[in-house]
Amino acid sequence: MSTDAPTPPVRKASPARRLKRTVSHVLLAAVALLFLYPLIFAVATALKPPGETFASPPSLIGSDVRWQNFADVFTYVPFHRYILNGLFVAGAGTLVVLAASAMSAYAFSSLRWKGRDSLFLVFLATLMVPQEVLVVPMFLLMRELGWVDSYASLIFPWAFTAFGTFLLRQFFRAVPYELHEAARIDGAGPVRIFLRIMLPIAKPALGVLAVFTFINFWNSFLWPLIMINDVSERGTVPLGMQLFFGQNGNQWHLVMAAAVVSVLPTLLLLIALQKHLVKGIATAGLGGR
Amino acid sequence: MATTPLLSTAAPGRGKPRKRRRPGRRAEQWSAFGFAGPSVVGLGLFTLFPVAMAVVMSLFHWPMLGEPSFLGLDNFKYLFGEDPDFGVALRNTFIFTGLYVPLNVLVALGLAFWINNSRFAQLWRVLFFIPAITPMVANAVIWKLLLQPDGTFAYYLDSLFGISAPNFLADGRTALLSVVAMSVWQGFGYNLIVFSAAINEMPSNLLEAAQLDGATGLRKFWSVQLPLISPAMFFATTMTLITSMQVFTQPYILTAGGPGNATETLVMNVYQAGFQSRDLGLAASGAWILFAIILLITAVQFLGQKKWVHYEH
Amino acid sequence: MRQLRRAALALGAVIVAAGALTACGGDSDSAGGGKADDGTVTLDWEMWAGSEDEKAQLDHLAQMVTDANPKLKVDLRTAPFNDYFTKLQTEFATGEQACIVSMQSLRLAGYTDLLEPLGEHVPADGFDPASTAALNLGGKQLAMPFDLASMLVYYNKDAFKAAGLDEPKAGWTIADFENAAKTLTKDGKSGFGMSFSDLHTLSLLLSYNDAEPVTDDVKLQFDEQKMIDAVTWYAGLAKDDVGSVPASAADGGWGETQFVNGNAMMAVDGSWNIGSNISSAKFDVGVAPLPAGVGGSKTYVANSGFGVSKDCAYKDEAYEALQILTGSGAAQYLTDQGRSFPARTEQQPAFKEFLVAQDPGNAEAVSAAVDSITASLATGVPLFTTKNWDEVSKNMARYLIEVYTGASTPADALAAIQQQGARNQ
Repeated sequence: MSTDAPTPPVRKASPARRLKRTVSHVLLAAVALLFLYPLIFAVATALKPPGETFASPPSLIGSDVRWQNFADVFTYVPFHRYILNGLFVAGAGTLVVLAASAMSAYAFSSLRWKGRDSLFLVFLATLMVPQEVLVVPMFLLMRELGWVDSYASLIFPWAFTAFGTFLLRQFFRAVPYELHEAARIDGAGPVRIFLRIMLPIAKPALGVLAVFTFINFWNSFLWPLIMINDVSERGTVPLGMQLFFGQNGNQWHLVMAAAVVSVLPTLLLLIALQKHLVKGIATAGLGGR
Repeated sequence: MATTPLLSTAAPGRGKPRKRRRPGRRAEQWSAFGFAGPSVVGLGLFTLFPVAMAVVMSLFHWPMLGEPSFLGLDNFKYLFGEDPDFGVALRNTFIFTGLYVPLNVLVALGLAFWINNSRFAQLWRVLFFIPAITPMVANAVIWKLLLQPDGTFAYYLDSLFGISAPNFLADGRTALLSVVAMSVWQGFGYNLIVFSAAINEMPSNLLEAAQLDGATGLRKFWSVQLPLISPAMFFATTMTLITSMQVFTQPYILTAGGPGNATETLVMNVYQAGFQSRDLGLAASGAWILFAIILLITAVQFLGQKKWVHYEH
Repeated sequence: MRQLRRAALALGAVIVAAGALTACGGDSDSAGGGKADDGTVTLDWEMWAGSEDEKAQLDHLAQMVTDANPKLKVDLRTAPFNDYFTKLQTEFATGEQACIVSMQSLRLAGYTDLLEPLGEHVPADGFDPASTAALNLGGKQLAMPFDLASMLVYYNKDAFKAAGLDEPKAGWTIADFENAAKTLTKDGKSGFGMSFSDLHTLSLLLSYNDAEPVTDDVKLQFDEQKMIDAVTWYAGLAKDDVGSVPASAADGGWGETQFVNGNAMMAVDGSWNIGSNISSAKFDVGVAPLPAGVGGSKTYVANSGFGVSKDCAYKDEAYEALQILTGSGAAQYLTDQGRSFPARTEQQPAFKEFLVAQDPGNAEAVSAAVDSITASLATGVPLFTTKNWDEVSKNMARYLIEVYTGASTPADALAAIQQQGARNQ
């Protein structure tokens, strides 16, 4: 089930063409630079000494280039712990999401059963309720389950949202019926079809879902704030970053350094799954139904 | 790339219905429940229960600390009647969405097409996606530095164009626009990836055929490429719209709803009702109004897709 | 299959019902502590903390309790300062609060029904009267203090010297202040960093003309004439960039941040930031009491302390723990760490010693700084707030910034704050 468009025949580019392409590249680089300027600025701010974050007019380099700030992030608070916690929560959460969403997406796309489409609409509707209003009732539920201040409370409550099911269902619906037919004729049941056919084909879409879900868990703030009592034990990165804002002054330079550090895991994940991302969304039924 | 919806009867080779050696309806129902089970139970427990509670809460005066008292629909009446901020928050949210969604989609679309022609496409995509994964607090600090009086924007506006910059975040006329700008910058990466994939998937035979027919440049873009990726555009627009109506963190961190209530959005109103005024019932009612609006808009979108979204067959 | 579905529905219904009952039922038997078989009582203690150093200080305090009474343990849980009260509310709302609750004087109003009045458990002497007064709302002592703070004017000594101005000191007036601000506004720098934060702004207004935003029986009066006059004066500072206007309604710490970063030459900030402002600034920092208005130099006084939640199942143990946490031993320890100006009078001189030791080259300036605190405390009054003060201070941010930028008038803005605040006060 190849979805790659066949590559056009290679032609030697005419000089005009090559010039156009070079200009295009340069312009694109300029645009990228413009877009990324705020982030370059962020890294530059992370290297400034304390008390210069808001010096006016803003300059890229402060009175000193302090690589020390990055080390200080880890000594001021146990930041490595927050990264580990974040990785654990985001990793486990992503796995749960992938498993649950893949299974339910399969049920909603490839199997026929009563109430399928109406239940799916209910799923979709839940995407439209803002998290902020669910926080307190959810807290009550956590208390009933005894999950307050536990990793479980960070992982499970938001691991069953409809986004994953929606995305993967679109993808599964794009798988040609012939494949199902063929498998069925060979005597395969739904479970077999799911494991042997759907999942392997779905790897790119799973990659996409993995990245988006990871980002969501990694950057989540309000919920961990309310759930976690022992921040140094189970705090995640956004929670940890709040510790730089204290009663006796804010460590802005550390905030920026911590922010730069906290981007790295997601960035690495993104780079690793890059190929799958593009291929994945293509076949998630967005170029077809 | 022929794709066939499962329930279509146009699948080739189907002919007349005949008995198949496949698990019966019953077994399929069973396995469906098995597959959908975890999600449904999870969603039921972790989403529907809090949602149900929120529905109940919206009919009460439910202070965070204290006893709830039944109000019926009074919360809703208050929001539409006396609350000085709700109407404005509604308006701001619509304005924000009206600006944010088209800008986001257009920037993502434009860049996706542009990047696609480049050899370093993968690199560009990662670079443009970085703002989407940076913690919001860092984004906010940087944008404040850029936008404040004596900030970078003001400096360049003055030195390059001689214009004296307004106080972007403190001036009621520019505050919301600034929040939109920052949000677009931060969020368009997702749609960029979506569109990039869709563009990659455009069948080249169709494109070449169109080119042979004389459609080039703008014509090709408008009549051939866009329709081909319209399903992707539909998905992106719908999801972006849903999230945009729920925008909260960006205005909260950049302007805290100010000046006055120029940048207060619906979810901010909900959050303030819940965590500042500490009336969970009021917060819940605000959330339900928002939900109804989003549902309506999404329904309209789904109905309207027949008009402009072309699904391949 | 239908049976399975019915069972699932029934289960769901039970869960919903259970949840609803829990929510409606209110109190649970969560005690905020626990008792072991050997009679050792463990109390939960809720406090804000940022850096590891801060946390270590609190751990030390908790340990002091067990050292004094081996059958008493204190289990510390911390939250980032910015989010402490969001979290605290949620905990109270769901019955998860600790036995020992850290509290700020400005936040007291929202928790009067939730904290146990300490009454006779507070020692008669040892505490600076201002510190206990600030935590005493409506005749009930709701927390025992560990620190004490007032508002001060921080100024850029280098700038004052370069401009040939006399440095601010006790007894300086509003007119001196205005003059200094105007003179120091040049080369793109402002003389004064403005603010809309409650303590920072309201203290200066108080000193200007005795304007008070809250009546004696703790009702809002933002639209009172003195307030309007004071805000008119304050907003007038923004003219000609003499006062640096906050860049947005989200910039709560504008004045002091601009000061430390060298963009504004003076700012009002709390005495709790003496250490960090002096060390972060790249210039010499001086400190003075607020400039004297018609009634002399005045300031609001604020502080923090520890209280006991009403639902605590181990109140006697909690009282005992409080005595130790705010006792002279603990106070001495905290002061030696330079944490803050202590509530216990005996330890107050040690704070000065700490700061001087930290910055011996500036001994004179630092001493003067601490003397400023003591002087301002003499004329300080506690700021009692309404229980919807979070809402009120958010509205202050949003509406006052419009006044500073000229988009609204003081009368209109204060009326809006008053009207919206009066609803839930």
